[in-house]
Amino acid sequence: MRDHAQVAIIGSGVTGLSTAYSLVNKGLNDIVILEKGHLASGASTRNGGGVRAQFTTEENILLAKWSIQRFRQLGLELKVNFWFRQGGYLFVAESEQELVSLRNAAEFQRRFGLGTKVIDCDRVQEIVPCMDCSGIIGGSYRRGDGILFPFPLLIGYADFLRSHGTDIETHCEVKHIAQANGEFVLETSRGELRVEKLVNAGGGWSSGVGRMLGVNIPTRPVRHQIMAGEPLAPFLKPMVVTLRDGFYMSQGPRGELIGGINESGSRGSDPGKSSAAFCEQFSSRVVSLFPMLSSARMMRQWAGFYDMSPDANPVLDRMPGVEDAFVACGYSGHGFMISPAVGEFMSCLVTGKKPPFPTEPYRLSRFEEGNTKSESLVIG
Amino acid sequence: MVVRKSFICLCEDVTVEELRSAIRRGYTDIEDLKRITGIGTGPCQGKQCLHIYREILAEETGIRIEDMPLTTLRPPIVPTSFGAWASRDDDEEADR
Repeated sequence: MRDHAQVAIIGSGVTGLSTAYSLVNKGLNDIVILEKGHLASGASTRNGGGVRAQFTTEENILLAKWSIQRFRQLGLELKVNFWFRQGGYLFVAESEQELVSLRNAAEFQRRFGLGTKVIDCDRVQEIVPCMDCSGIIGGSYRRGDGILFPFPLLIGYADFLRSHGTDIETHCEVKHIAQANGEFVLETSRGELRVEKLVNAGGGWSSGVGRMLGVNIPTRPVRHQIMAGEPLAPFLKPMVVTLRDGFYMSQGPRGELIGGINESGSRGSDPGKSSAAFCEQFSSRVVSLFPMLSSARMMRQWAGFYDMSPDANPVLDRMPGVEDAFVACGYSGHGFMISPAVGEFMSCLVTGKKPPFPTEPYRLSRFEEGNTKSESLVIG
Repeated sequence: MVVRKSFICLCEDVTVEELRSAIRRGYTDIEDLKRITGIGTGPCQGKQCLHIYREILAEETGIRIEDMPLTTLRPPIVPTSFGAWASRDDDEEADR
């Protein structure tokens, strides 16, 4: 491993990779990415690949809308196919109250130019013909939302970065960070690295990285589980989400079903541990909503985590009190889908440019000031 | 005998050559290569291919086979129908 670089990024998840990619595009390519596990081994390789702009806060809508435009180009730039498919996101309501909240959300989203439609049960049935809609009274639908396959995008970024001078050091844990002579001295499991600038893109571990710099980051990883079903002929166009229990399911590029549900009971804290209770809870919902899937098989099931922030909106900021250190975290389950915008945002902060987004709402200090508006569409 | 076009993973149609090409691009971690190639992510979940995969990876990287880890094994042990999972609660109710 080299011993000096202009920028170190802690974390090789999609945030770190996307930030490095935007930095390289701005002409800065003396970068080392430090990763304690294998490439993107946290939430980035455990997520369901959903991409949506249907949110309830300006913070998420702006980043998501920008990112969806980028996802349409990114495959060509990186020369990879990550199977971005805009089949829409369909949120379904099973009570009048849920429908009201979807209607309010759609109205809010329209202020940002999103064409989210509130639809009745008949239209829901048209979009998803095989779903049992007897308990469904309506929903909201946005065609521009969709899904992607996370791995090829991650690998595409990594290949591009490695061929443009960025070193990605995997199995290289940062143990200690000191500051000396205007530089950061990172003590890692594979030697010492001195850098001018530092980006904390540690995902579920970002508050731990914050502590090494004496900065309190109030985000914490919360376990969520997910499953993949065996490949089936295409039958499901949009990502289907139920508000009642945070059930979601989409059909991926290989025909496999991908889905999760808001786990009832204890969530535990070990993102590596999955549970049979999840399989039962999720499957009960699958069978009631999609009776035809009763004999389809669950192939694989795993656990990951959302790095939850107190208001479920991201933190994108300079590290308060530490010059030339930056933090991007707290995506609360939406990190992959907003990653192109986050990378652009962070690369602007690092290079002293103005990001193409307001910076105020993403500040870390908002939690102390008590001035926050929470995202309510956190699913799964 | 392993030839270039031999399949490692029959579920996902991954050949020896595809694995070698990913290794040549600089990836040597068994977890990374699983995600790049799709080895072991089909309906058999690695039961047919995991050890062939480990052996070829050991050969290509010079790591001793004893030191080559397994990929993370995920439940369920065999693909299990949603209907079977969903009916578990009812059965337990009936047993009581």
